[in-house]
Amino acid sequence: MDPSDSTDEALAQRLQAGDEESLSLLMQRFEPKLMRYGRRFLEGQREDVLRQAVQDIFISAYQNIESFDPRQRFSPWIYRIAHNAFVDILRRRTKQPLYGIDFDQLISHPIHEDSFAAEKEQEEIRVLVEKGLGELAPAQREIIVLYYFEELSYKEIADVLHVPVSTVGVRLARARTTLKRTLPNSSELPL
Amino acid sequence: MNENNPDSIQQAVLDKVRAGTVRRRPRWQFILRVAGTIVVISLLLVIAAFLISFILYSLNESGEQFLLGFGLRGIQVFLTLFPWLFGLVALGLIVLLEWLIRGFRFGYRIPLLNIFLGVVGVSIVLGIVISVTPLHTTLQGFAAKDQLPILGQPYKHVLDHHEDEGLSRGKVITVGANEFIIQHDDHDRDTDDGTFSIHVAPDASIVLPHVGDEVLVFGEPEQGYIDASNVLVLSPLLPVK
Repeated sequence: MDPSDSTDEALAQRLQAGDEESLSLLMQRFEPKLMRYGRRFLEGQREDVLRQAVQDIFISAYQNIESFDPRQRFSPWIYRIAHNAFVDILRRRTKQPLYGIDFDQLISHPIHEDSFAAEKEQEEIRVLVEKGLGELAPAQREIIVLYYFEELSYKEIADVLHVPVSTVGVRLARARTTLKRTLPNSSELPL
Repeated sequence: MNENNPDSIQQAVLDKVRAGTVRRRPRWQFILRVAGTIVVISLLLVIAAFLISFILYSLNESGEQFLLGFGLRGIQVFLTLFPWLFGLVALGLIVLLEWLIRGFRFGYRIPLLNIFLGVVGVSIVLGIVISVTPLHTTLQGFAAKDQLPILGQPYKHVLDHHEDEGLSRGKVITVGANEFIIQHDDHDRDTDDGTFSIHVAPDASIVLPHVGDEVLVFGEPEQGYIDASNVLVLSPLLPVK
């Protein structure tokens, strides 16, 4: 089987066994995703800082690859490393706490995961959401990016942010409400 | 392809890997870290449970738990005498435990309140289990003989006489018409050891104890005697020699 056809998890497992070619393939797959995630989450960040951050993310992923459990999905694992790296950059940029005391994590909330809208609608949502990203606080912006642009599920986002799955739903709903307030045409779309 | 571009991120990472400046951390480091965290969690849980069990033992042994049934003044004295330091340290350990548990996947997936209640519940159950074992009685014995460093003082305080707060404890040595005398000896030969005369008002609905009873007396100290407003006969949990 051609290694380029392998799943991310299989490549990670091969990297654990010492196959550096797998690292190269994983980087090819994830560099555009992580750059996209970083650009949107860290809005206005200089490109060279972002590139350095993504390079550090790959180095950290390589150093810690033995801690990856191949029975789990690889993308939330590497997005978690990216989340930590980007949050560090944001912390250096702003003195305000990004994630203060979060009462959403305190108790359980009912989970209602939206089935992703039809492809055409999805694209419209993305265009609309993109316009409103700048109006959101970093914590809300991140969850919108992970859900609408990186297309992670609630469970995967929970693994990236280390929060309960129900908290993802609450934060996403809150971010959507903020978007609806800021975007005049948003009521026409199933946000 | 990006990899062939000298400015590419991928090339930079691969160069570092091939040059050996970046190495994979061995698996045993991660296993050791997880094992270490589990050991620390277990230790903290045992310490928290021990502190909780000490609080339960102390309230039970000193008879202070009965103060809650002595009205508002009783509750006030209960709150004054409660071993807050132990309670706060136990709470701190529980918060630390919660933080450590959230490092695991199953930990962060559970809402904070649920983990907190779970840790509190496990600590209390373990604390109750420890409190019914002879551990505290044994440690109390060592403390009485000054053979228990650090924890000796808290154990000695368990049997303290709190006359100023209106709580006296002792063994009845004589009983008269409306009075009785108790002897307090918590084996530390300090100022709270001695005999105390207890007066019971004739119209008070207090049943006088018998000689040899271990009693808890709630009442304000007057000149040379204690004016009892409540008397509770305790089961002889500890041999008072």
